[in-house]
Amino acid sequence: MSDASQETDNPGYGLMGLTAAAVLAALGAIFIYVPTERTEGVVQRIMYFHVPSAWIAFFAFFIVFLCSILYLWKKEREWDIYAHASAEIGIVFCSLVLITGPLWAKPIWGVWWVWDARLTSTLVLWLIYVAYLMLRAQSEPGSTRAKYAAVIGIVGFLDIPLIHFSVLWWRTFHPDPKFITTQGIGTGNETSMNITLMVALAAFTLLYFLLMSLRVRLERMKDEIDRIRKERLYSH
Amino acid sequence: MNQYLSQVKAIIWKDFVTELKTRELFSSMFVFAVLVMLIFIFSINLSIVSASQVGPGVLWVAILFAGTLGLNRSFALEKENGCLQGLMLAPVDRSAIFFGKMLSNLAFLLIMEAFLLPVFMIFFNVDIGSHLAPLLAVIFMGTLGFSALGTLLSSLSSNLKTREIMLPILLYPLMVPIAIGSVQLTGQILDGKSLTDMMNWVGLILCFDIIFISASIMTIDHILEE
Amino acid sequence: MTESKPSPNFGPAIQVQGIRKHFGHLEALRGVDFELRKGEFLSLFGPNGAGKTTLIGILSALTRPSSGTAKVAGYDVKEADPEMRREIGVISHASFLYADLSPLENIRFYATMYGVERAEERAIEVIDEVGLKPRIHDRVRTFSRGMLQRLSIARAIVHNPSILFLDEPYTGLDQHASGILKVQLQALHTDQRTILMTTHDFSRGLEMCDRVAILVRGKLALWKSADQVDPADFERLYLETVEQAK
Ligand SMILES: Nc1ncnc2c1ncn2[C@@H]1O[C@H](COP(=O)(O)OP(=O)(O)OP(=O)(O)O)[C@@H](O)[C@H]1O
Ligand SMILES: [Mg+2]
Repeated sequence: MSDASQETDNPGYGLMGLTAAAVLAALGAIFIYVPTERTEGVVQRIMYFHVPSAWIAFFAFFIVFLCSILYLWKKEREWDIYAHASAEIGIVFCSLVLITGPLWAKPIWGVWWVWDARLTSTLVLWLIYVAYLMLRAQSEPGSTRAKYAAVIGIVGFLDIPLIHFSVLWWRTFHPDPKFITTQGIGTGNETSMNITLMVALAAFTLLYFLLMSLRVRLERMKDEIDRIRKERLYSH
Repeated sequence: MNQYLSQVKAIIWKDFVTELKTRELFSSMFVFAVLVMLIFIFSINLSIVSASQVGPGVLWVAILFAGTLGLNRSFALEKENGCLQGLMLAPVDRSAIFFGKMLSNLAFLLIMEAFLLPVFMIFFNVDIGSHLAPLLAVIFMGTLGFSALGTLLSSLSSNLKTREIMLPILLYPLMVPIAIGSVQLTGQILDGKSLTDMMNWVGLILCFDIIFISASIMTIDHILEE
Repeated sequence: MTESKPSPNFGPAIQVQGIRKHFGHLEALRGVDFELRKGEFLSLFGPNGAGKTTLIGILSALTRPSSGTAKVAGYDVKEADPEMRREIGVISHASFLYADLSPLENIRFYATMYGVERAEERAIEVIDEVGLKPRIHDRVRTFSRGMLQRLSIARAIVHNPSILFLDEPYTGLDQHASGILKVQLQALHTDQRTILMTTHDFSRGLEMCDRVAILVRGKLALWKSADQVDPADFERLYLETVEQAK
């Protein structure tokens, strides 16, 4: 393998260091810097994990969408790898949203699950991308798998606004549960809450890129191993 | 253009002739839909909840489940003896294949629904005669979206080993907007409201139909080609 | 769109340059080059898995080549022009026939897809040609292997293609049907159609071809004019060629 590709295969220690610093800063901000919220108490700190996870999940699925389009257009394995990696990371953060949501809801509302519009949409999203990963797992590696996955990656993302509105309007027939909305975060006197959330968002975003680079690197190594194995197999 | 239309027509015609000869699909879809309704009726207590509240949900679940049976078969038919490859050899636009299959799926579902509605009316004791026109419009819009996305996904899942399982797993989460929208609309119509009061839902379902028909036309090439 | 307007009377009917095809890491075709003029008949031999079916798939624009160019009837196969598809008829391992339809319904369906005029009459005509007229309304599912093969011949020629790709067309045919196919092919051959046929049957392959080729592990190991090949000695030549190429 050439030197150039060796270099691009490096995990990027710069990114790793930066992410570590950001995560530490975020943890410090969440657990030390920001004061405990008055009405909800200590459990409100979950928000600093919940909201950034939701943001990263959404962002990751958007990357899946972009890479899927690029794959169908260019038919290059690279885009397939990116889409796959991003979908896996998106599912991890989407799962985090679905876990932290009920953890937060239980002490506040007294129930684990409310059919709140946002949480419900997230659940549907989670199901779509789990199906996406199942489809990948069940087909043979190759361009056919990549094409099918790309179609689901595109169709799934196009569906998100429709799902959002349908679930939102569906919920308006029921009492609206109390929920910290984005307007609620942006306004008010809680600048420290604001800052903490921003730091957490930055840390999660960096974490996303770090995980992406690691996952993509892993997939390329798998390809390489596969190629070498096949080569040896056919040379005999 | 003429050629395109006659190709689409030929594909639909072929599916209908096959169905007329085998009579496998329609009867199984219809019986399955009735069974789904029955099971729901057994699992809910109709003396507590009002029929017009749960009825639309049950109706649409029955349609979606039975529709999945039809979709699973739609491309399985094309796979036997490699017919799809034969079709791909012909000078036919890939979107014509999509439209042909989508329209025949749509037609089968609509016919099945025409038989299902009277059963629904009797089981749930609802009067649909007075608002038949808006009800049919809603059923048509919902079924159109289902057939569009369903045809795209069944063309894809028919190549998988686990096609019968993967089709619903892929399809149902994506169908959430249609499922919610159609059930809401059907419920309101049965309550005697007019469609013009619920234009947001109508718009949503029409958006779904347009988005997924266009997305299918743009991506079907990639699924069908080797 | 591409530069010059293709004309069927000019240039080679099939022109293949450096065609390669990968399936993952397996290379099914490793650079195939040849030319076939209009009206020529090529018999392509080769061991199982040599890439014959893959080559036909690429030439009939079902499979995309990984690299290289191929022109069929003057059209680049990558463009998959509908006009090119109209020029091609294919008989493959699979019959491409709908099992629940009758021969008439099947052939008429394909005739419509190809935009053939008076589809019904043309369908009856070709079904008669392959000797299936008495069974014209039966269900294809009830047909024997050989009858299915005959019907796929009818399917492949219903739109009067100028180029035919035949992938082991003799498989499963009885002596009688083989005779029909041979007569058919001879008629098509004298009619200046270009034919590419793969087969494992040496005598069938050599009986009327102009060119002989042997494909081994994705490469043409032999390309000869038919008059340079001695049919009696072909088995030895074949085995030697395959052995050497391995
Ligand atoms: N869709 C595919 N995916 C993966 N590998 C394939 C595919 N199609 C063909 N191959 C491989 O390509 C090689 C060539 O196959 P091909 O069918 O062209 O051989 P063939 O010469 O027609 O053989 P036969 O005489 O048995 O018909 C084989 O090794 C086969 O396994
Ligand atoms: Mg073969």
